[in-house]
Amino acid sequence: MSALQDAPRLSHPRLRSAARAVRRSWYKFSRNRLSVVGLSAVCIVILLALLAPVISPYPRHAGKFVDFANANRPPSWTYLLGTDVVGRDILSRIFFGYRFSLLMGIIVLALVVPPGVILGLIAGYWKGSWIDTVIMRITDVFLAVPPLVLALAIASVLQPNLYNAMLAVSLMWWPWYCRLVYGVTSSVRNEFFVQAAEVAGASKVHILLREILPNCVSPILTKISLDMGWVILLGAALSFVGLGVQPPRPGLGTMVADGAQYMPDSWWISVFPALAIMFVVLGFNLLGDGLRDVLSVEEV
Amino acid sequence: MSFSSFLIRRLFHSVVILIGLSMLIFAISRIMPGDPARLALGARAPEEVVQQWREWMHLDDPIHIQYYYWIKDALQGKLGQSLWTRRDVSIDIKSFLPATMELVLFSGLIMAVFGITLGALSARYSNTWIDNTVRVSTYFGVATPAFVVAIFLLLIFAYALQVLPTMGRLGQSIAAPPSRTGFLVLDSILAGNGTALADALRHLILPSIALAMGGLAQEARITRSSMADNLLKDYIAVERSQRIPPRVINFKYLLKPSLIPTVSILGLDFAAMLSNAFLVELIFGWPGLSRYGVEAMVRKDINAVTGVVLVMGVIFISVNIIVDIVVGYLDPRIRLRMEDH
Repeated sequence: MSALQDAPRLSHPRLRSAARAVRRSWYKFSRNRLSVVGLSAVCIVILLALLAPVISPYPRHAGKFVDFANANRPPSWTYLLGTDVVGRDILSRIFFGYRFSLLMGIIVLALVVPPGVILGLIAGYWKGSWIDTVIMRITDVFLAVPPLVLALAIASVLQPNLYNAMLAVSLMWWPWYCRLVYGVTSSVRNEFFVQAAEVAGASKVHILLREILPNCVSPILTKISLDMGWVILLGAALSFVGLGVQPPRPGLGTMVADGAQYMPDSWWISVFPALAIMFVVLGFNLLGDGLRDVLSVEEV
Repeated sequence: MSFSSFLIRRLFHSVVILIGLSMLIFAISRIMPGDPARLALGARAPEEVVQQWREWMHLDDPIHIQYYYWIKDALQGKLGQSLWTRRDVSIDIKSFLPATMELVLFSGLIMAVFGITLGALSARYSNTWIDNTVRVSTYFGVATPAFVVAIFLLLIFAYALQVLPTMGRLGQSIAAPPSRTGFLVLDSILAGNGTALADALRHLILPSIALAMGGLAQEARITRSSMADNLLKDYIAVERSQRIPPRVINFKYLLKPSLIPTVSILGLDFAAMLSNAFLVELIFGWPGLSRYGVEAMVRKDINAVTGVVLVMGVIFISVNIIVDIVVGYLDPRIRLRMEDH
């Protein structure tokens, strides 16, 4: 209770109520220990990625670098997680690998959310019309292929690199947002506040963006946080096959794949990047679950 | 809506999706940069041969005519020649598909049995150490990519403990039973070959666990939460007050309706398994369709890639139909909801 009483005084009443809402949500969120673990994991990963050039013990090892004298060293105080077959420090490469993972997640979601949301709004608002049928049948088609299969196929016909991997994942990811927003939109479009806006002569753009869209924000935010984990996982899978981040850049999936050839003797080459992937995906999952509880979202 | 009209609607819907899917796959096969004719014949082929090939493949025709020829062939099972194996893609698919199906079905079994059991246990003993262990491990299970699970399993059981094989479907010293179904386990049983059966099963264990892990964790979580929800419903309290034995309540009235959400995400879990099979087969040297697909993708073998994606899509669509029918049978409300569409 004391935390609530000691809160700094805010002058504007609106600001004050907003601050109260944030505090209440944080209280609800932090009561679940797993959500706090998730948030901490995500913050750690973001910090590691941002500060990679500063905190890595060997920043040069993230690129074209060979040091055969120190190749294949097991974990030690000099190389905390060991070195790979050409003598690069695994720890530094994981820090830089997180940069590509987060970049993948952010760019894919930035490409995917706006079109998915807009199509979902349109299809949901004009539910039952031909626009609805066309849009939703197209999403059905994209969802009719197992996701990784489609992404692999698209990535394989293009040049293998990080950007085409992002493109491939984006092409198969937008239907999920379309479907999510479609569900919310079609359930609120007959509510009184939408009808009131229609009667008042508001434009369709106003109705879709100002009246209906705010109802979709919570599920979208929750889905984004869960999807960061999935997109990173998919990116790792693509780079595992060789269709994602290209060497000598450190992709976490590429590192696991490279090390797999040298198992079991040099187990550290694959095991630590594999744990790094688990850590970031787990973090985003726990965070997403926590958000879902706080925002009381059921659709995602 | 009656069950039969629900079924007809559902099948019609699938046909529409299938047509869309064929267009999507055709589009993917045509966005490949570069000249497909050159790619197929190599840089040294003379220009007039390349031109002949182009005409033979209708590459100079407008795109909808190309699609017409492509779909006409695909419907007859003609998927063209693989540029890598130099065999008909349909023959390749026939020879590689059973291995993948065996793996996926086996891991689907593991996923359903263990996922539902763990979820039910977790709900039955909620907030005890059993429940907590299951819940924390399912978080890890969901967040670990199948290829990471595969690598850990390999390290522990195949390399460190050396109790299970690392590669392939059958040990080298063991003669394969005559192939009738392509499923090694079935073939061994049909041939009455006990050694081959035991060895085939031993080879199946690690890859199928790797493939099942994510879905297993997901199923356990969903079963737990839907059972926990139903546990609080009034009808359970009424049944308890009627002195119906707890065993009957747990299985008949609690577990059965709680499985509806579990069954309805089986389709998604199956998709995840088909996806992950691409990586797991690669790691375990499993000679299945997915590994063939990856090899084809890395070699830009476009006919093989389109064939594999098409087959995967058709399998996935069929699984979804089955799942929808089972769920629609279990839960009449789903059938009612179809009427809105």
